[in-house]
Amino acid sequence: MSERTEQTPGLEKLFLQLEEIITKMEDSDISLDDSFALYQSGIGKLKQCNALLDEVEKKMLVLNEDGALEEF
Amino acid sequence: MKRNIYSVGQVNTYIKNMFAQDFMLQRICVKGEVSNCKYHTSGHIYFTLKDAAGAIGAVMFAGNRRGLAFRMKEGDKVIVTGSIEVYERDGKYQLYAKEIELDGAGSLFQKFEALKQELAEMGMFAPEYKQPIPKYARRVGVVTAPTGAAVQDIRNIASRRNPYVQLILYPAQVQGEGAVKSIVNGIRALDALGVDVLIVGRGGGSIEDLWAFNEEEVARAIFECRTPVISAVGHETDTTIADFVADLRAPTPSAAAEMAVFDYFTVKEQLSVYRRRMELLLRRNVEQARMRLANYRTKLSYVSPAGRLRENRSYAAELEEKLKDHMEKTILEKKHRLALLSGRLEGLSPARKLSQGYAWVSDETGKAVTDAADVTVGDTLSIHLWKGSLKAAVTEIV
Repeated sequence: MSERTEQTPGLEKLFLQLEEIITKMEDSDISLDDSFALYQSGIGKLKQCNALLDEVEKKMLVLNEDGALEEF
Repeated sequence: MKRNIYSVGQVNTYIKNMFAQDFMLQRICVKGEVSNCKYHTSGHIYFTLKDAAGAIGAVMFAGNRRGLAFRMKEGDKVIVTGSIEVYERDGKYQLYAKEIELDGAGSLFQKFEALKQELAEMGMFAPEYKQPIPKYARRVGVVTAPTGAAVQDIRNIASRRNPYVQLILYPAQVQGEGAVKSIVNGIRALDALGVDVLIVGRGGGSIEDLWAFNEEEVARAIFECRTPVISAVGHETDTTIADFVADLRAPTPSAAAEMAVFDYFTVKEQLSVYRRRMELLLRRNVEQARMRLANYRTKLSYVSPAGRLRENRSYAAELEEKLKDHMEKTILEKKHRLALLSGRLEGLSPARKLSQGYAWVSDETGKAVTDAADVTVGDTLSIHLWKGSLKAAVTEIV
């Protein structure tokens, strides 16, 4: 359902957040504490990305006249 | 009652004769739009002449080609002069063209242009209504025929790029009567079901085959669809109203699948790039902090009380050493000088002169006498010799 995609941030948004984290980590004035916190948050985002990829192979479905889904 | 039974050939011959005897059909001008036009290698041209009401098969034999002054193509509106005869083998009548001339633009084309302009004026093609196609769709809806190349192409491309994306097909009728309603229902049903992006289209075909995608109802359904729509009708060269109103136009159904389904392997690679980059940066930042720590430690040891004390102590020791050196040197110098002076002093001592017969004279008060004028006759003077002293009275002043 598309609502699901809207509730948790999608891959696109997560990618943006990861870019942001990396940009902050690139700052050489960053404190070690912040650096660790950012890394941890980044690893969390990567996990979310992998969860979104949802690596279960999908069969094409067909939407019936009566609105039911079945395998093509 | 006795029945007359005829062969197929007899019936066709009979009908052929009926046509042949009809004066009007022997020389007739017919206007319509060219479709399914095929230039055969034999030089004959086969085509269909049609309008909104119907169609008729037509042929121009190679021997009549001088009656055609242009390259006839799909959609041309033409006036054909010729005869209508029966082709006995197929039991079909067709138009045998002797002359073909252009008659302005084809009517389907005109209809297309008129609707295109109307919808454009309503703003249905306006870029501000175009929705962005999601880059990473999880569910992709497809409105097309369940049989045919389009659905297979989309399926193949999708499973090659990302087998984990869910495709949901609405099996639509894409040509003929009922196609418009079927396509519209498909768009609405999948929009209501909830998908991230919708592909609406079909494979290639004649302009009539694709016509449903030029109908206003389909255009409206695409326009009103809340899900972003990619149109994919026919081949690269086919452009339909659906293409103008869709959020994105794909040249073919395969291309639509490429646009709708993100590449799984690219995303995986991107994720590992992010991971490596973050690990590298973390390591660098830890290393930097370690270096900074070492640097501070060195600086701190200079300014700490212990450090100061140590430094002062060594300075004091240095000073003490210097002082000692200095003192020793001074004492030595003084000793030297003393020896020198005492040697010289010895040489100057008056006592030493006395030993050589000199004497020292003093008056009665003990004061040294150095001038004869200070003495009067009769005074007693003391004469001090090297050894012992004498008392002497002054008898004369010389």
